[in-house]
Amino acid sequence: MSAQHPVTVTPFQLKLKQLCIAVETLFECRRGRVAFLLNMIGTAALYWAIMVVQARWLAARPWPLLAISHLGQGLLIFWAIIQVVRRLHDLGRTGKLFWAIVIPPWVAWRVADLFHLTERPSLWELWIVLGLMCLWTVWLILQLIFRPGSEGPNGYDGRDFYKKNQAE
Amino acid sequence: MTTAPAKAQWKDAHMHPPGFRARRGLNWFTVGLLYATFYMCRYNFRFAGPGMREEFGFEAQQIADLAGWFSLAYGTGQLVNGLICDRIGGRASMLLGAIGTILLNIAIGFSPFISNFSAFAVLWMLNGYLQAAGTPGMVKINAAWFNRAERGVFAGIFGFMIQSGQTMISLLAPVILNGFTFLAFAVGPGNWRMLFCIPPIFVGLVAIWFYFISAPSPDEAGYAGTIHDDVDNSAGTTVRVWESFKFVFSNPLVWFYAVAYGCTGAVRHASDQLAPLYFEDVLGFNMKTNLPEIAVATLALIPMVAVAGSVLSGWVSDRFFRGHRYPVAMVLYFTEAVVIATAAIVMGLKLIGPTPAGILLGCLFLVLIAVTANSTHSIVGAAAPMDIGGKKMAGFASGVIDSFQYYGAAIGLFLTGRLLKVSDGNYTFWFGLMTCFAFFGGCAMLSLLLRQKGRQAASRSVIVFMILLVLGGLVFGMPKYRAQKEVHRARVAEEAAALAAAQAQAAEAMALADAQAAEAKPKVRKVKRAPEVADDHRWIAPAMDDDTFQKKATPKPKKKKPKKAAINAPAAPAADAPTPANP
Repeated sequence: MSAQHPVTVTPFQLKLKQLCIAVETLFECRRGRVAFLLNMIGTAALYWAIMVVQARWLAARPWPLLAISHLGQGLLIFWAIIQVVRRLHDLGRTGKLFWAIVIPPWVAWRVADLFHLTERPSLWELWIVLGLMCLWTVWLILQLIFRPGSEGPNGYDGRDFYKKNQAE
Repeated sequence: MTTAPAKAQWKDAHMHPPGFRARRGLNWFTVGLLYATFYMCRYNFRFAGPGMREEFGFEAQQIADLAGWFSLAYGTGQLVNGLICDRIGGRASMLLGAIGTILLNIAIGFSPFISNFSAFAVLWMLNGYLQAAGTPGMVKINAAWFNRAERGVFAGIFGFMIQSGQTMISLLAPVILNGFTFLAFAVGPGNWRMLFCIPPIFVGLVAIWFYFISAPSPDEAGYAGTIHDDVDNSAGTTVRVWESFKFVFSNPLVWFYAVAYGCTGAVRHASDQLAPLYFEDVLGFNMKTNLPEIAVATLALIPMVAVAGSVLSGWVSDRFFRGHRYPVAMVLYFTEAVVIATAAIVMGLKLIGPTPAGILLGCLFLVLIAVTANSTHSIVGAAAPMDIGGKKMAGFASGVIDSFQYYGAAIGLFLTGRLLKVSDGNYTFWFGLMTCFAFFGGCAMLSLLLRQKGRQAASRSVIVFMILLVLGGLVFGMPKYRAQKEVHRARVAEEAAALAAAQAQAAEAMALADAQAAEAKPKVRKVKRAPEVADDHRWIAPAMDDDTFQKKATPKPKKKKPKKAAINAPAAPAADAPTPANP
């Protein structure tokens, strides 16, 4: 239909590509349950420590320090996400299930906040509904912590997975 | 019908080389962020309106007219800019739009000549036109980055970007209007001009990021041949204007979707913009001072469920319909029609009103309408143009379809306003009209479905039915509207006459009361004062000597009320404060 255009890729775009491959690779590996638990405990402890520092020391300091502390918190959250995805891969399941762990509690929290449910114990039916909504999340979290990982290759082994698909 | 081919296609479409999904995520985040910041330079007007009215004396109707003119310019801009976008590329289109909107907002914020209404209107319409470069650009870029079976979910996220853009300005505007200090930069409270000066800074920063990070297609990011374009898979993303125009205008799918999207616009804008009035008039809320909790909850719930509905409908069309949007859209339109028709019936039975159950029902229907309207908004407005135009002509396809949304909204709001006026605020008509639009959209999608299945005759008969529906509405509706208008006019005249009579009666009664009071006053004095001492002041204090009597009898100057005096008079100097006499 139209003339063919020569497509050029700039060096900057190639660097971005390498960066994206590196980031994506971070999620591809597998993580055993003990290592997962230790990582999560360590991450949570660090996160809590930053929160304490923010509350006690950084409140009256210049804002760049506070911004740096928020950046640190962001990195810790990112690290925690990587751990969850790796653990899911270890169980032989897709990393997309991470969203199933995050979204239902987030929705439950928003709804509880919206209707001020903490101040209304009489609306216990709604609490049950929200709890049921998070049931699968709870089940997945329990699996992440307690279930042993799969033996041998399971389709979520990073480079091998792609190599296999490319060969096909 | 088996779902196996759909599953296989879906799986193939989601298999990508290493790093591609992360790179696409980065690209989509960058493009979406720029698009969201566009909203900051559009919805700032909502917050600046009261300040402008106060400073320049613009009337409410003028402010509303400005919003209307903006919509008109925006809709037309979609058409023209969509065509240009296909020629210059989505990236260039978005950057041009960003630069234009930055310059215009800064011009409005800093220029003294905008106190003239016409000058402001021209600038604001230009802003609308340039803002319209955003959607075609974004749709075009993403058309190149997503396979057909992936675009539905993307379209759902598109709905999220719109909501986040509105949220950003909703959070920023109160901060600006309350005044703030950032490093050495201080903004006083109530400075509405800053609403046009600060959001462009955000757009500028994101535009710089966009310039460096975004790529118009995966080919230019080092992922050649990753995405297969069903329309034109040759390299590049641009075509000549005439090619794009010819292809899109001669494509019947565009017009089916455009008609349906016009109906979406009519329902979506009517429910969005008239919801506050509905809360006040039907549910009896006070939206100005004391917003009830359920109204807050409903208004907060609407964007959440809208995004959820958009993502879900997009995913369903990707996963189960091989990227075809019309079956899902048809189901959504007819569901919407059923929901709104139920609301109209419930409203007609007077079950919706200022009672606990009535309020709950009223809010529930608003939420359900928002879900269905926003779901069609995403898959018809964002996913369908990409499927039709592909990476090379998605810009104009998006422009044509999206422009109809604004024209549909204009027609819907125009009709709703008049119906509400002649029916003295009977919101059953509002629901009824929205039902018609939703049903009409469903018919358009049904006709397309039949056409795609090769049943041309059935498709045409649906089109004929739609035309008859419009003609029937005009033939039967217009006389009824006129009759109702006459009744309304007569009622208004009657009420005005009754009011005038009541006012005249009240004035007469007041005049009579004044006259009676005037007559009664001397009598009272006569009663108070004995006639023999009326002209003799000495009776008050017979024991006084003449000097004391003279002092008492001399009329004193009237003293002001102490409260007013305290407010109006300058503050009295403190006892130890220095005075000219006592420095």
